[in-house]
Amino acid sequence: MIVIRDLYKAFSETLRPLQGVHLVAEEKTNTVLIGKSGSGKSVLLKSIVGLLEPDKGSILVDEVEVVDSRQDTLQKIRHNVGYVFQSGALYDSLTVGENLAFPLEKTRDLSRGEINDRVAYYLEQVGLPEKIGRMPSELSGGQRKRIGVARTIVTEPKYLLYDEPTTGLDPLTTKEIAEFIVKLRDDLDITGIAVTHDPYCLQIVADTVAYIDEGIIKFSGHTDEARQTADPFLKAFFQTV
Amino acid sequence: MSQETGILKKSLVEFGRYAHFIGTYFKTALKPPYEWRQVFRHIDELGTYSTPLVMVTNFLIGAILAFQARPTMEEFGAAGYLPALVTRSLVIELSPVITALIVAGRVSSGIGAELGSMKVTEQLEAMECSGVDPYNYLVTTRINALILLMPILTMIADFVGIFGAYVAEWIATGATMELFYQQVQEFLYFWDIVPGVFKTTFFGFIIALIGAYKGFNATSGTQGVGRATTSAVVVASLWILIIDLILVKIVVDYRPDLY
Repeated sequence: MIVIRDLYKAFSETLRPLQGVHLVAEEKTNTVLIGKSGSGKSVLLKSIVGLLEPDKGSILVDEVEVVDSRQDTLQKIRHNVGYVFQSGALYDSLTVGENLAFPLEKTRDLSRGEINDRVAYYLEQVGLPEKIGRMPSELSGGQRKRIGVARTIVTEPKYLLYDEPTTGLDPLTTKEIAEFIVKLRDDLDITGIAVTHDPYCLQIVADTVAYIDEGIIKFSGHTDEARQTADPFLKAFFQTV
Repeated sequence: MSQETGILKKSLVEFGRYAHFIGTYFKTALKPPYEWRQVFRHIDELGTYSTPLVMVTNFLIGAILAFQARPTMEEFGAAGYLPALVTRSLVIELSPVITALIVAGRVSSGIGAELGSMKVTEQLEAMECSGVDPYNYLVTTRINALILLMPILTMIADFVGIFGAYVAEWIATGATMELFYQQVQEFLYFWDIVPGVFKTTFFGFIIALIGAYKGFNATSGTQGVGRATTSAVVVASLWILIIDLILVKIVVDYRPDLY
C-alpha cells in the first residue's frame, strides 16, 4: 500500500504544487489522479519514486519511508515501484530488446538466458514481440508507450505509476492502453496510480479517483462517488465522457 | 536586488553546481560499478569520430608551420634547424591544444546534445527510476574514456603533424625523410613529449565534463538542447586554454628543464 500524508513541495514563493496532500493507494487497485494542468499531479507522482524531494510530509511504500531516505533505501523502493513516462522515455540508442534488458542487466542478478526469456515474455505481454530488434524511432506513439510499460514491468514491480499514459493517442490505442493497465492489475496484481486528463481512460482504468486542486486532494473515493459530487470540475470532467 | 548582485548570485550558483558536478565525478569514479565496458565503448566511438579530423588538422598545421617558418629561418641562416623548430612547437604546444580544441568541437558538443536530448525526453529520469545512476553510467564513463583517449589522440597528432612538416619540407627543398628525421631526433627528447601528452588528460576531463554538465542542465525543448550544445563547445574551448596556461606556468616554474 502507498500512503501519502501531509505532503508539501514548493519550487518558489509562488510555485507551490503540493500543499498538504493526503492520499492512500490500496493494493491491487488503480487510483486515477485528475486535476487541472499545473495542479501538482506529476510532482506528486515523481515524489513517490524519489525523483523529486518533498519539503515536508511522508510517503510510505509498504511502510518504508521515501521522504529523506538514503540512496540505498530509495533503490530498494524503486525495485518495487515502476514509473511509466508520458513519452515512454525509451533509450534512443538502444533497440527495443536492449531497452527492456537494460534494467535487468544493471539491477538484477540474472543470467543472459533468463534476461532474454523475460524480455521475450513481456514483449509478448504488450503484444509487440516482433519489435524486439527495432529502434525506438521506428515505433508509433502507442507502440512507444506500450514498450515503455513493458520496460517498466520487466523488473516485475509491485506498483506502477503512469504519467498520462494515453495523452496524444487515438481513441482505439487509448482503449488498448487503458485495458492493458486493467489487465496488469488483474493478471499481475499490480497496484497503479495513473495521472490523466483523459476521461475515457479514467472510465476504463479507475477503481478510485483522486482530484487534486491547488496542491491538496479535494476528493478521493470510488469512481461512482466521484460522479455524484457537486464539485464543478469533477462534474464537467465526467460529463465529457 | 541590483543587477550586479543578481549576476554575482547567478555566478555563485553556477560555480556551486559545477563544483557539485565535479565532486560527483570523483565520488562515482572511485566506487563500483565501474562500467568499464561503457568506457571502452566510448573510447571506440569517440576515437573513431575524432581520429580522422585530428589527423587531417595536425597534418595541415605541421605543413603550414613548416612553409611559414622557412623564409624567416633562411633569413637568419638557420634553415637547418627548421625540422627541430617545427617539431618542438608541435609536440610541446600545438598538437595537444589543437587536438583538444578539435575534440572539444566534435565531442563536447556531441555529449551535450546527446545528454541534453536524454534530459528533455525524460530518459535520465527513466534510468534513475530503473535503479541505474545516470551520472555514473553516462557521465563518469565518458570522462574516463576521454581521459584515456586524449593522450593517444595527441601522440597520433604529434606523429602526423611531424609528417606534415616533412611533406612541406620535401615540397620546398626535396629533403629526404632520413635527413629530416635525423634533424628532428637531434633536438627532440623524450621529456619534450611527456608534458604535452600528459596535460591532455586534463583536457579530456574538462571536455567531457563540460559537455555532460551542459547536457544534464539543458532546459526543456529542442532550443535548450541547441543552447547546451553550443555553450559546451565555447566553454570547453575556453577552459582548455585556461588549463593550458596554468599547466605551462606550473611546468615552467617548477621544471624549467623540461622546456
